[in-house]
Amino acid sequence: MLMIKAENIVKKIKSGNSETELLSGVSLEVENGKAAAIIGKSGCGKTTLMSILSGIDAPTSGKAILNGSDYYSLDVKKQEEFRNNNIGVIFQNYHLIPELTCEENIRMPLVFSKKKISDDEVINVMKMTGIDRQRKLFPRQMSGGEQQRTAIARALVNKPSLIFADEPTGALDAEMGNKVIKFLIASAHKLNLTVLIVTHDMDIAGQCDIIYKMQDKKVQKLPSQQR
Amino acid sequence: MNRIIFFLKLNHKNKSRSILLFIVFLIAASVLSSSLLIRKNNRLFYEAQLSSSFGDSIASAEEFRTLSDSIGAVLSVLSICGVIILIWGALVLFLFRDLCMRGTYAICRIYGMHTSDIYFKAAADTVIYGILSGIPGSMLGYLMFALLSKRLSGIGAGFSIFSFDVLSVLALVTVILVIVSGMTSLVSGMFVFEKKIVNIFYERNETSNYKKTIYTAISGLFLCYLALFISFGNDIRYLKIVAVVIAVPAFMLFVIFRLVFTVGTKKYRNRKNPVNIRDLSFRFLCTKHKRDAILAATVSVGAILICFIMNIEFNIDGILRDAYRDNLGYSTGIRVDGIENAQEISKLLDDNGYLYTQMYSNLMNYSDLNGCENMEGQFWIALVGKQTADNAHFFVEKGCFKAVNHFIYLFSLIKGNKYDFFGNDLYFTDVSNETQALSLINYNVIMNIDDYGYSTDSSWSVVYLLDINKTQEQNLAQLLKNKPCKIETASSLISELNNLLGNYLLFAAFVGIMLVMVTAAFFYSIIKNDIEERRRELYLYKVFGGSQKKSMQVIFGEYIMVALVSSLSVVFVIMALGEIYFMYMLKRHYPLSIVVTVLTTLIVTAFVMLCCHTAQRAAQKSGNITCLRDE
Repeated sequence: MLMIKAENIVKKIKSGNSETELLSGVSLEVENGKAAAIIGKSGCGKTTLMSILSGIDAPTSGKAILNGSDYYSLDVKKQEEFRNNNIGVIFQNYHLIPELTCEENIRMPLVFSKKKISDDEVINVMKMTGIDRQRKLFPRQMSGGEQQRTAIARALVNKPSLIFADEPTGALDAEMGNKVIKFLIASAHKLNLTVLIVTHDMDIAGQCDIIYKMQDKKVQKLPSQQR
Repeated sequence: MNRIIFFLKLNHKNKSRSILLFIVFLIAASVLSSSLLIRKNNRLFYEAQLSSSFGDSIASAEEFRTLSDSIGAVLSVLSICGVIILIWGALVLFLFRDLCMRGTYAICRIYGMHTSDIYFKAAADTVIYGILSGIPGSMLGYLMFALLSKRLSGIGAGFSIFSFDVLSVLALVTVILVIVSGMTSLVSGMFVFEKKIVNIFYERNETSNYKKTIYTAISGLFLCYLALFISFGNDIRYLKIVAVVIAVPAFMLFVIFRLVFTVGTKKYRNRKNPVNIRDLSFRFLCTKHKRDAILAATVSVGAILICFIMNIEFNIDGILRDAYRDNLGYSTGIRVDGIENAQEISKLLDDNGYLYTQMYSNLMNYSDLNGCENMEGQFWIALVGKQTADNAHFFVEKGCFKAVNHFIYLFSLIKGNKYDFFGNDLYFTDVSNETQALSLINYNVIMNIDDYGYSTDSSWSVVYLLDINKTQEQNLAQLLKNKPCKIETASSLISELNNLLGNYLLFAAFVGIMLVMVTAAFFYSIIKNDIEERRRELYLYKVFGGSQKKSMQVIFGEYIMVALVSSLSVVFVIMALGEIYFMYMLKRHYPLSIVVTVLTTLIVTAFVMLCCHTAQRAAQKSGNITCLRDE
């Protein structure tokens, strides 16, 4: 089953009197339980595509079909519910809430969720990501790797079906970055999640099931031999 | 964790801001509740207060009402100012808090926070600030009311805190605070929520549609107005004056400063590159036009208000004296003991060159008037003997008479018509001045003594009304020291009035404290927010060899320049236009003190420096500016 399907997505932004086209007809597909990567040079539109597919920025035209639903045809409230139930997002800069502890950050999606997630399940997620000892610490008291693992735990706690990761290893060293990617891909297979990772690092992309290359504001699926 | 608890935890992690907001709401509640309790019970307390202060000067219930209404009006203005300061302060502080947390809200929205969850956010703020500070604040107001009453009238509050009257006021005040806290939190939340998530994360500019926010703000203001109208009734008319005096100059100054900073930036950019800290500060100055214009306008309006208030204080004796004279028609009154001593007093005044209006007054029955034999009730008649043309209040030509509105209404008098009055046909020429509170002489009708067809006997009282300055008053008091008369001067009544008003300074002091706190919080928030947003810039200075001290000096210098530009412009504006504006406000010329104006500039600049320094120290201590880690 296709969990992520982008159909001819176009994104234009207005800048003063002119209009800039960031994406010109992007189409891609990712099946359930697979990890996909989008690679490309800096400024080619990867983050823009990620923002659209993760539901936080509407395209100028085109469709984003996520878990069978045409996301941008839903009303605002349904979009919010969909994001809460189905999507987990991991950013390069973690975006943890500085006022909350590690555990509170992880539990944050549950505040808005109608799903019943028990305390044991939350602790399991923390153990899985190796962050259970840091649960009482604030973000400023943790290392980059710990913060990123907290962000990953936050993305997983509400049992989403889709994970979007925008340069998740950008702020980490090579060893830690490798660990994070391995963990994400393992989670995709083990928990039957669909993971879409944006990266400029070919080594990271090479570990995923599918690779899309972003070029000239469009994506091209790379066959296995070219990885 | 449910949503309200989540927002309670999230929004109140910044303890200093939360405490400040709590205190501002607490003070506002106490000012409002004490003012409303006084207004509710003013008749009883004002009578006790005023009779102890002014004694015989007040003869009638109407005079009590005039004075009590005046004091009530002053209290209402202070309370309305307090509410306006509260609304502004709450909005600014909530807005800064929510803007600082926009990234947090954005991530919450990604993870499914509904737009409607801002109502939970507003509910959390309402619980803390509206209810938890409103209730103790109202009770503190009751204590203030009891203290003031004890001090002024010696009879204490007179009501139990659990009486219906008091509880209804406390409930009303809590409702007002709930409305203010809820609406300001909602508006500030909406302002942030209107921004797209992607623009917040990637710091893109956007032109958001703030229609919903504006509608909510207007609804909120309407609710606040309604609540104030229920509380203050007719005195709500002062809201217009207060709003115009503050809002119009603030807006005009904002526009002017924005223009100045925009033009300044364009001009400076083409000149030299910055070579020292001062240059760097000036280079950053004006780059954030809106922020600097808001700061400059706030500083200027604050400086102008303080300057005018201090100048009013500086001229208060003259202002009260003129108000007394304008309302009563004289500055000094001499009441003679017994009509037989009038000749002696007249001779003394004539020999010493005093110009005066001599009046005889008596209480008459309506039944004494022709055609009114069956009428019940009494009225005061004042006969003008020797008169001076300078005293327009009491000047009556022969063949004419004046009357107050009540008398005119009672007898349906028409201006210009002739009426039979005590044996003579007299023209009704003018409506007489109604204000008689604190006056030595009471009158419903004023006529010339030559037109009075009967003789004056010992039942009549004689007063002399003069318009003289303070020095002449002292000379007169000396002249009439052991004479059979009593002198009442504007100076003595002003000093009594000052003493009485001084007791109410407690309110003014509380409102002043609120204003200082809110303004300080506004500057502190804007500067701290700015410093934290510029932490990469500060870090870069450090990377390139600048010490933390020097990097802070860049920001410090920038804000001091804003404060100096706005304060000095205030000096210029006040010197050039202030005299005209002051004259317009007080309807008479009072000289503005240069010392006061310059002192205000220095105080205001020092205040901004203190806020800036405090904000910098707080930002440094929080560790947010030394750590570049993105969270």
